[in-house]
Amino acid sequence: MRRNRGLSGAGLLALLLVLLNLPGAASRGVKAAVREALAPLHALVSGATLRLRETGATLRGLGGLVSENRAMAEELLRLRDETRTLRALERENAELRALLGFAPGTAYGLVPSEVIARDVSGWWKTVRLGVGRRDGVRPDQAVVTAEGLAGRTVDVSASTADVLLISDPTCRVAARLPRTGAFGVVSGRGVRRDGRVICRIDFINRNVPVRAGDEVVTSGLGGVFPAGIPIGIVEEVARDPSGLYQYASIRPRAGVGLLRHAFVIVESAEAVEALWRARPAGAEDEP
Amino acid sequence: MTAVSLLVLLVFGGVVQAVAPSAAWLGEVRPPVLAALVVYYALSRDRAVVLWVAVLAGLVQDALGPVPLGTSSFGFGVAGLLVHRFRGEVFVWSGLTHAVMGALTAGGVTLATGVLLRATGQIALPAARILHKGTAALLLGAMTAPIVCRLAERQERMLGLLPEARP
Repeated sequence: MRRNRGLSGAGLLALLLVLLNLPGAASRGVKAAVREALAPLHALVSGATLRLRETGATLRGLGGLVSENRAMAEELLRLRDETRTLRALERENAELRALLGFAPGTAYGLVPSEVIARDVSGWWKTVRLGVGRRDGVRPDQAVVTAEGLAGRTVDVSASTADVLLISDPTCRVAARLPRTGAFGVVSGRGVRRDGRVICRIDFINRNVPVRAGDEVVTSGLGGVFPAGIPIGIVEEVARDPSGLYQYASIRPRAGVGLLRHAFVIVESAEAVEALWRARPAGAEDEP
Repeated sequence: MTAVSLLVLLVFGGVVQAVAPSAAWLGEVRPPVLAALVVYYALSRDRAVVLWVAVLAGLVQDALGPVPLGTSSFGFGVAGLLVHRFRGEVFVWSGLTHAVMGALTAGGVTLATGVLLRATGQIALPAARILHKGTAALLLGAMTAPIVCRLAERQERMLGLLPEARP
């Protein structure tokens, strides 16, 4: 009996050592397998929770539905008008790019998803989406909400994708302040006691006049995040103690603390093909 | 049957822990359901089962987040063995025992994991935040463990794995 227990203990210790020393690819494989196994249950439970919450919100907000509906109809009209203008501008842009012989910009598609789970450890700011490789999602793709940038994909399995949110200190985004043209790097600063997410943009040229209220968008440098995605609004500006650059705290546009739905930005093969077909004749021969 | 019961409880723990809400004032720590399961088995089973549960619960916990595989298994293993070591000196089926053991297990494992992750440069949190999370885990462990232990006990009694009445 004692010998059996000893063997069992030794076996477990060996298993633990193997787990702790698994190579990166094997470790990712084990994690993906566990996530895949639990993904349907996560989706089921989080879906049911969401429906319950939505039902509660609907019941609470029945009185304000008429005015909300009117406001949404007005918003729809405004957005349709904006879309018409943007389509015309897009066509004009494509024609001008073709005339100048510019390579076409990458075209993107959006993969919508619900948040099905959050990081159980609490050490990182991550959420799990219910879309994965079979939906065209890959690691290091930008994730956005209707308001702005939410984060980037990190671990992707067949039907799930873990997203590192911009509120996490290890998520770094190359950013730009469109009003001044200054560049910087945005990183997360966690969540305040009142639940507000904070980020900071560092390495801004010290001579650029940055002020509260300035918009911060992705710069497109670094290759992960397409250019022009809104990140947040500058709240406070300060000079780095070294005096070499300035930094600013920003309020993210996307409500990453309460994220329920998100879109993964994937490169759309059809759109890329269409853009390449629209290139001027002979451009294919250029190096 | 014990294995099936354990599997059901681990899946339940993994799902609940991943979808449960968290609060900023609690350091965004989620209710430590898996740690509570380790406490339950440490108080009610022999050492080999405790170690198996610790390894599997840790595997589920680590797989559902970016923590390196095996980190939580190691923490749960040590905590489970310590709880098992003192089970002869406490009221095994008391809610108070579950609360105290749950608090110590969740708080201890969270603190140890935080220190380890910080030391290896995988997280960039100040020591005060790690302490905050450890304290929050202690509090949540005290609240979660009695509920989880009660549910696990009820399931095992229903399945005939424990006698129908408490000793």
